[in-house]
Amino acid sequence: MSELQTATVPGDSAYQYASPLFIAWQLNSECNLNCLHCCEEAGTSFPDQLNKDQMLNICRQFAEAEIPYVALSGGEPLLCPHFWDVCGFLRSRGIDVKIETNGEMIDPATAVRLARLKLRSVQISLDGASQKAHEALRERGDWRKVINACKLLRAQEGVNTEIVFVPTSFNIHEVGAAIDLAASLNAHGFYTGKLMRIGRAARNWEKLCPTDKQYQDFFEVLDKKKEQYKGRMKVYCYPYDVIEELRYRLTTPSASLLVLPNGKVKLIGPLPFICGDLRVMSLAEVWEKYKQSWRDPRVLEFGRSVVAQPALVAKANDWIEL
Amino acid sequence: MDMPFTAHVKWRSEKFGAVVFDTLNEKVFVTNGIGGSILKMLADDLPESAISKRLREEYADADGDRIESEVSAFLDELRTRGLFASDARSGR
Repeated sequence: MSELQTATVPGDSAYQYASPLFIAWQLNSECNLNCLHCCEEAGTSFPDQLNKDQMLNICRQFAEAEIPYVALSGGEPLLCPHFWDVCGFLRSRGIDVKIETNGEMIDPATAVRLARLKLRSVQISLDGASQKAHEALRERGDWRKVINACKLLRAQEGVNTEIVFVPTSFNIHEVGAAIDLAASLNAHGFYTGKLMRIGRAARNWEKLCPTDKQYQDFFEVLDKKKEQYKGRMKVYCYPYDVIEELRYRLTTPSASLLVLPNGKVKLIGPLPFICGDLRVMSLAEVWEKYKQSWRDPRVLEFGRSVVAQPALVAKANDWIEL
Repeated sequence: MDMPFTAHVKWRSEKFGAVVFDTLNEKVFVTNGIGGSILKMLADDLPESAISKRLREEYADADGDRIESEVSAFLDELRTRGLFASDARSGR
């Protein structure tokens, strides 16, 4: 009678939902670092980034549409002047929030403020067990600040800290030690997955991309660590690379939207298509356009081309308005 | 909407019934219209016994014992999936 059916993949089949289940929102593009593997090419601000009123208007629409879960990223989201307003509003409406940060702006006061928001999680990028590997990838980065941020959050009650590790030829050999380090910092989870050939990572692909043998060793270490930390810390490897995910999404779009710092909505990370603009369209209009766009012949044709020639993902940030 | 769910479990009604999202584990579950009705009654703070009673009234032609066992199975499934914070609403 009331059987609970399980959807196999989170956000499976956008077409069945009245509104998105998940929003990935890049609040800003400004960043204090210049990471070689940044998939957003973050650095300086967009000239037309959303102002506070526009952001809060979008938040109100998220609440009215009963969006359950929003991830706030950037750039570095803690550099966004409206970050706390957005976070506070979303949490006041019961929306779960994850923050994706490089961790370097988290000082004692910020850690307390984040803890008070009772976030779903604070996700921190840690690309090495050693300062050398982390900072080789993260230009202007400071590994010690990241470790300190994790310690500050650990000292707060109820903060789920998640570590994100992106494997590259610079750091892939350190994955086991990085997982051990995350566990020693009481991280709630350790998340990784194959390097995405988007943004600055695409430009630096030849020097960043691990070899097949390195990936093989990487996955073996992950399997061992998953067992080692079972029940204590989640060790998760995203199972699809960017092309595998795109191939799947061409037939099964996820129930999620990717909102850019200027309010434009991108269909999915690896494709250049823009399907709406939250400055001039309502969330409901964007959601309908999003679903229609996945059936647009231009999207299907380009998507299939990318699957056949993965190097085309490098064009993902050359936006095309639908 | 406040529920007996854990802190990071959200739900909402949909045309087909309801969707339950465990955001911490990033897992989505869907249920049909009757499952959605049960979720609504949980949100209204009804214990299991009252949920079964209301559904028996609504589906007067259906087997009452079957309704009771289905409600119980549905709530058990939510618990098994780790979605409930406690058994406070079981009414047992």
